[in-house]
Amino acid sequence: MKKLLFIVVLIFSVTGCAMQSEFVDLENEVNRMKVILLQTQRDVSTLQSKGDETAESDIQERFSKIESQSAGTIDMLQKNQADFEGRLTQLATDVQIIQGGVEENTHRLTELTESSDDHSAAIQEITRRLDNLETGKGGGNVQQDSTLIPAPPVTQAGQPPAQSNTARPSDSSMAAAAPSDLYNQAYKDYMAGNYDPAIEGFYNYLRQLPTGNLAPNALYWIGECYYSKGDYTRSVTVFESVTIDYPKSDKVSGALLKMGYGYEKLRNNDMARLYFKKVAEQFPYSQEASLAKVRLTEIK
Amino acid sequence: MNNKKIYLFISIVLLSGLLSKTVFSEEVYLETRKAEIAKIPVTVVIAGDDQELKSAVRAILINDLERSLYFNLITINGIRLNGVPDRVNESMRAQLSSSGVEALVVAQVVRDRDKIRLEGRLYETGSGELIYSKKYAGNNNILRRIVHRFSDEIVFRMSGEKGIAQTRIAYVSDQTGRKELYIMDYDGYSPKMITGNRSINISPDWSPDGARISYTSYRDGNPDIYMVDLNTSRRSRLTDYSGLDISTSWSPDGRTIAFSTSRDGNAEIYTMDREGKNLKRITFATGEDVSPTWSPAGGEIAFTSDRGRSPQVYVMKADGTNARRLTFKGDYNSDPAWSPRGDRIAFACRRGGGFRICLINTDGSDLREITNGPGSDESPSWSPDGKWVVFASTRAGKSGIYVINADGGELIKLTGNVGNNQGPDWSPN
Repeated sequence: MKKLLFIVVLIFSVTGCAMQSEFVDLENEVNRMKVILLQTQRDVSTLQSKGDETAESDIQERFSKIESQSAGTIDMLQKNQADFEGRLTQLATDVQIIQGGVEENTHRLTELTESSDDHSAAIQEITRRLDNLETGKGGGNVQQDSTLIPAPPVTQAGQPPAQSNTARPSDSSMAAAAPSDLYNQAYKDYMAGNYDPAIEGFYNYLRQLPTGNLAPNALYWIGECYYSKGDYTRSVTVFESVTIDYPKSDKVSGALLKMGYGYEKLRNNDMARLYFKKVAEQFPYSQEASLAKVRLTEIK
Repeated sequence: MNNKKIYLFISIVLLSGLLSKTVFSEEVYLETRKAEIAKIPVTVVIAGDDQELKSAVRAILINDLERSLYFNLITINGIRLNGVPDRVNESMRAQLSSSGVEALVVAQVVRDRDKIRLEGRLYETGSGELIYSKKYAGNNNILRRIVHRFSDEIVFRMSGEKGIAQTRIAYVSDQTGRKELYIMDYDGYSPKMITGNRSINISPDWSPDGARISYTSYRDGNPDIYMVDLNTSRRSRLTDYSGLDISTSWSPDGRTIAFSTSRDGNAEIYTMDREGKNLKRITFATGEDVSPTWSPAGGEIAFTSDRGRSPQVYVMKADGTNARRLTFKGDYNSDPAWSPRGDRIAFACRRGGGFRICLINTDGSDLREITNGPGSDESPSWSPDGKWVVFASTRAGKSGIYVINADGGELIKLTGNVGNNQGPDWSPN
């Protein structure tokens, strides 16, 4: 991901230099044309003031000469412009190809991480049972363990129970749903606008797999749920947790932007500006940065 | 216990699991999903003296009840009714029950010069009791509408859901030589031209209250977005930018319209209010972003983008944040339409030389093709009950409007005119 971004930036900067020099060439050419035009105007006015009819043919000759000269220059300018546009199009295409590649790889990665999440949950469960067998040598402990109940989710907005070691999955919840099923169901609930069950589902996922690959996404969606519910205070806290707990996640730019939106809704424009600036500075080439820049120009 | 052995075993299980998942994730499900709900067995009896009127009413009513997909119509010979009784008599009740019929629909129709009177009744055959009764009247020319209303009532009484018999479909047709907008009933009858400016008019989109239609028109020489109020026929222009403004979609609360515009060089998605003010740009990608469609909950927008080179369906928050790609199979997926229940998205997917109508869950799972050619199937739009998808297809040569059951069954052609018919959009109910 980062490598690709680096390559894109590199392409941009290298071709950016090329474009700069082309622009300078074009500018010089235009300036030269301006000088020629001024010279001609001056010549015309001098000749007119003289009223010398014999010079007319001379003027015409000079005009046609200049015309043919400038026609050549304009042709060249147009050609340069066409070349320039061609290169720009090629560049845009390259960026799209790279973007497509990134999307497809991310998709494959997500599919793999989902199943590896399920497998690590299964391993956790098996290990736990083994521990029980080895230490307890009996069913009593298992029975006791299965009564553990996950902590209530909603009260801990912003401090995901994911980070807590005390909340451990119970036997029943483990048997009921694989983490990826929990996550997908919560996502469906979010999409359908059922925000409360979605929040609960994502917190359940986080409790099962605190370090799961989709943990940052789950926390991000919890923030989105609160935001969609109009609970901006909670959404800001949760989005902040995304940036603190998962600083390397690709959800960070979105979380920062949504913090800005949240603060704007809470009429705290100073904080909103601060986060919009953060997005624009830390992720200058992202969609989020473009959206943040729009807000920065419109916010009062 | 030898922990090492156990871990080795788990690793092997894990690896094989991963491999099998990778292999099977390429599989595409082509089979159709059959309706899970058992249909209610119903018998329809039309009473009256005017044979022609009776058979007309029967045809419309049976068609409506069948397309609601709630009923299984059962024909029983020899049932005669003189007028409409308050309850079904015992011998008839026994006859109906023995045939498995659970409800009896009776319509008594009378023609009074250019007026039609219909008395509709619904009986439960278990008890023989009347559960619904209503009298309808109107001019001859609204006969179809009267029967559609009666049908929707029956659907509502028996299923608790709103029927779709009174819904309509807006579409584009070039039967006059120009692309004009038309509205027809959901069953293809009563087409009516609503533009008539002898220009090019495309991509109609119903407002959520069904009172307005937004569309793109070249009537002033440039593709701009217009809106027509169907009650007053008043037209207004919402955008007047010199570039291209196309493919509108109303937010479910009716306050915002998303559309695609070329004002930033390439096509990007903007939102505006329904007066054409408060423009907000919400996409900023390299590439074309077109065809927005709102989720029924209003929080998300799906759209088509070629930011990853090939056109694919993406989903983002309605404020433009968190755009993510939804479709990964195939090199051309476009024209998304969000289902009324919010769980699925229909879109046009390219297979070989033509497009098919595909459905996918909003989490990217369960991709299905519900049409299979020939020709090309495009521009899907959902019926408000989520049971049908209307689309444009070239399967019979010229482009026509078709509906298909969302599980891939019962394909029906709606348009019968000589022109090309495209870009259908199903009204709310």
